[in-house]
Amino acid sequence: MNAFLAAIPRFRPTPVTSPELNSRPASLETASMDSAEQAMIAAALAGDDEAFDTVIRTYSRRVYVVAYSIIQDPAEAEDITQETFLKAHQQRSRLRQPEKFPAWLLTVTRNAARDRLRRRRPQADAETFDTLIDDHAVTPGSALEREEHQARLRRALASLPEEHRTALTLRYLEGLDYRAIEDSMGLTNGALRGILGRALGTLRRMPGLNPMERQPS
Amino acid sequence: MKPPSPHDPFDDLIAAALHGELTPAERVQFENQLNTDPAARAAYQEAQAMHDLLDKTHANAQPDPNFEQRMISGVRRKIEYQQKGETAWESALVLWRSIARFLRRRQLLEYGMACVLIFTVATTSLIYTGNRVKGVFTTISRQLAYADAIDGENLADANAKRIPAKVLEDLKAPLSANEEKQKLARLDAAKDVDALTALKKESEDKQMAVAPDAQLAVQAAGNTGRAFAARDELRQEAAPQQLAQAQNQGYATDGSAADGPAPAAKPASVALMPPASVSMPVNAPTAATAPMIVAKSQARQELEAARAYSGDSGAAPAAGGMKSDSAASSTAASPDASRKLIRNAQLDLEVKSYQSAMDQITAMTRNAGGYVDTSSSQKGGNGKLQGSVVLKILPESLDNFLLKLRDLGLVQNQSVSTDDVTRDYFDTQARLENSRRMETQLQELLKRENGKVSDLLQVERELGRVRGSIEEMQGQLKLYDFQVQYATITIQMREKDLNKAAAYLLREQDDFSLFATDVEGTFQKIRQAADSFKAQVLAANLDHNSGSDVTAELTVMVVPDQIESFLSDVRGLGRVANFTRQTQRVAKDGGDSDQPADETLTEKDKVQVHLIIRSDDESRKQVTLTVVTSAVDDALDQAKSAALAQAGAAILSSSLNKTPEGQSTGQLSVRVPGQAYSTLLAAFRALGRTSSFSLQRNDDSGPGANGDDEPVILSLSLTDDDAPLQQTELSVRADDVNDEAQQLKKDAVAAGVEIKASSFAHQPDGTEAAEMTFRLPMAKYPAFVDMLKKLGKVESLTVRREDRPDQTRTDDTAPAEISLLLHNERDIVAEDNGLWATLRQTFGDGANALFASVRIIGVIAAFLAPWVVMLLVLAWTGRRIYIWRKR
Repeated sequence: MNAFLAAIPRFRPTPVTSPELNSRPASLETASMDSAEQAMIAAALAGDDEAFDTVIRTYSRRVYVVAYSIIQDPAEAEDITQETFLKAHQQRSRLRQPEKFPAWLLTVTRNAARDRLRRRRPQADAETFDTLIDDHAVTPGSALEREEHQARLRRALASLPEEHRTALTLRYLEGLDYRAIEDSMGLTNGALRGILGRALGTLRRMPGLNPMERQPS
Repeated sequence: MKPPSPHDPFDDLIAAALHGELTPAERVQFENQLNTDPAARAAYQEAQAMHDLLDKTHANAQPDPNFEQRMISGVRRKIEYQQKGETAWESALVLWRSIARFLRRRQLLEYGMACVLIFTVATTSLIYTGNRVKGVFTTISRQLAYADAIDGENLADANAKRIPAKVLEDLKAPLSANEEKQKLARLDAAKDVDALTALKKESEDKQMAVAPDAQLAVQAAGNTGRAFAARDELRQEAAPQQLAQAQNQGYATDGSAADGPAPAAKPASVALMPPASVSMPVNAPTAATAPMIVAKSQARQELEAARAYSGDSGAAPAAGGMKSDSAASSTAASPDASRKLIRNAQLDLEVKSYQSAMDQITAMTRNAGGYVDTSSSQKGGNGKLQGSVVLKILPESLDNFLLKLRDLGLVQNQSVSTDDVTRDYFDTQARLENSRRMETQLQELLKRENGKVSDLLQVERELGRVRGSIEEMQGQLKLYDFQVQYATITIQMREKDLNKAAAYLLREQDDFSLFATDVEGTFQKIRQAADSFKAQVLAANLDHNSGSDVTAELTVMVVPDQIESFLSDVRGLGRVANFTRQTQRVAKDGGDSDQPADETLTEKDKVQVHLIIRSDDESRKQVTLTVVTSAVDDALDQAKSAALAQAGAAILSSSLNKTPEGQSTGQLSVRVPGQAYSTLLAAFRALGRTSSFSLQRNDDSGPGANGDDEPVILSLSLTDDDAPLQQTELSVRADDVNDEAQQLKKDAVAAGVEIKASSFAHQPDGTEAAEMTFRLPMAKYPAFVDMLKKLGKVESLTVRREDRPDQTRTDDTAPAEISLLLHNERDIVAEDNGLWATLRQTFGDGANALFASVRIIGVIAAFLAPWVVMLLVLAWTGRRIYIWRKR
């Protein structure tokens, strides 16, 4: 029991201030942009291919996270990321304002991801829960089973409301603390707690998903 | 779809606890709850497991360190792929989109500005290209540098009173320095783009340092110097009105429009701006940096101003004066020497003797310092010569030479032409110079270039092209040089009386027909006569057609002095008709027969005699008669013996024909002496009834009266077919046609009536008709007609009688003919419209329709079958795919 309690992470009153996280913009969209970054984007939009590479280097992770928060699949998220930048490359002559470029990029990403999810959804709906209650679906043993299990979890995640997914992604993938997530999503602390609690609770209660479910209690 | 998640506030606490976001107070409360409530503990454990799982899953989803690089290369690849895949259609789509967007936009002003900008750039570049073409004249100016100097002096003289002395001085200064400028220009042109841009960069780096400025100024001066020289050249060439224009253009090209590399020239002038502005008068402080060059450029500007002035105000008189001046000085300084003139002359000459004229021409040409290029001659049939000579003569002695040529004979045609190729020549020379410069540049580039192979290849290719054009232009120049060096004279020479014929021949031809009684004998006699006259028989034909119809044709060549005696011999052999004589004069040994003949030269050729010998029976009195007799064979024999008994008569032909129907005809043709023919005619008439007689006499059949003792041709025709005296047509309606017809035939045979023809017909509508033709002597006629009338109802009766003068009305033996049509009425309902016939027809039509429909169904089936099969195959395949996918 004590060991159990000790596992509960200690409360950290101040938000995480690791330099790595600090360098990251607090929100995905309202990124404060310095003039060098703007110049880089402007050059990329004007047709400079090297500058465009730099843009990809700078924004690909953010785009990936947004894509992942919706699609919940790393391979597909990578696909969406590439497509987004391809689209940016095609339409760069139309994008006139560099300061709006990141927002545009993320909007495009989100639309692409939702589009893809919508196309995937009918199948997912048809089989999600049938397959989830498969007998040998749980108790991850072999690597293959583990992978299957993870895929199942991803599908379950994808079936959550988008707000929940985003919050979970920011927490688990990005490793942001609550304050940063609140800023990013524009939520109050209570709302965020509610969202995360509900998301975790839903997942925990989903049949055939929780590894603890079958363990003798 | 999703099960509604019951919201448990404890879930929030668990999440916050797992995420380390509990406040101290919450933490205490949470721990207490865990300690007291096992369900809460289980929930926490479950949540923690889920949390771990999420952590793990997300850790797997974490982008790896290579993520960015992978994204970049992925996007790059996709972009390349897409660019490759871009087709013309896509380009069209993009174009359409941009147009659509343009139309949607409201900032038309911006686009308008862009259009104006583009238009300006395009116009400028066009003007610039035009100036490049003019830049070619810079090289020409080198050739005419000295002429330019002279010209400048002339101009100065002409305008001495109008232009201030200072300007005149300035005018001369740059002109004397012209050669130096040329050198500079060449130096400048030799430098390539790199060198100039390097210089420019250097000057910028050094903040417009003096030294590079001076260098650039030198280059600019070179450029402008060349532009200036081009203007001079233009002024020389152009009319006064064009002069001002050319100078204006010259201003426009100042500093940037020489034929040096364009991008090089531009930066040069830009760099030049501050120290030695081209468009502003130069002032002392800047002049100090590069005094000499600035002085030059100033002088040049003033000179230009002076020229523009003279071109504008006093253009016409000034230029006119200048022109006349230069014309006056042409004898002394010979400015024509610099002009490139190609002179050609053409001459048509008639001479007495071709050979002597040719010798003289050769000698004259050699004396005049020229040579005979080509010559050719040909001899006509009358021994006269004609030909052409091409001479090359020094141009200055051309006019004298032409005068001398006039002494050789009669000049019929002469033309002299001068082709001024000065412009082309110097144009080509300038282009050659440019190409050579380009060649050296390319060679340097080739030496220096150690870049890509494709670039090197391109340079090589360009070098090859340039060398090719250099060779071509060199060849052109050489050709020009040669053409200018020598004038060409082309002489067409012919001897007098070239077309006069040497002699004439008088050719005679006689045509006539000869009528003779013995054609064959006459033919042989004429051949013998031809032999004895040593005449040449060209053709001799004898045609035996039939009986007395014999013709012969002869063509004989007789020597002229024997022709009359030959003809008189031939005339003695028969009667000559249609005599024609044709005489034709022909030129001997070619020549022109239209020329009036010299009688002494005429010779008489052999006379060709062409005659046709025909039998003179054709022209005799002819008597033709036809005699009807019952026994043709006997009558023919009697006629023959009667003819043979007559002295002097000759049987020309006789024939006997018998037809299968039993009719006989005979023909006999006899030539009888005129005295005896009436006796024979009477004998012929006695053979039977004469049905026709004709007598024909050709009184105009030529010389020699056709007296009574002349033979007569007597033609006799014998026939046993006598035309009936009375013809009757009868139509009778009977009940039973067939039976009555049979009965009638028997009755007729019994009555001794001849049945000439009979026919019977039965129609489908029940009509029966029998047609019969009877022939009988008039004695039996009334009784037989009465019998016929009794057969039934007589519907029509026609009787036609032809009385002959030699026949009595009561001649009972005269033949009569009766045509009978025996027929019945047709049935009310025709056989083929009867009940059974109709039933049969209906059944047959039905059967036909049935089979036709079967056939159409078959066609439709054949038409649709493949499609049905295809659809079935498609459906089957689709179903298989569906099943396979479902599995």
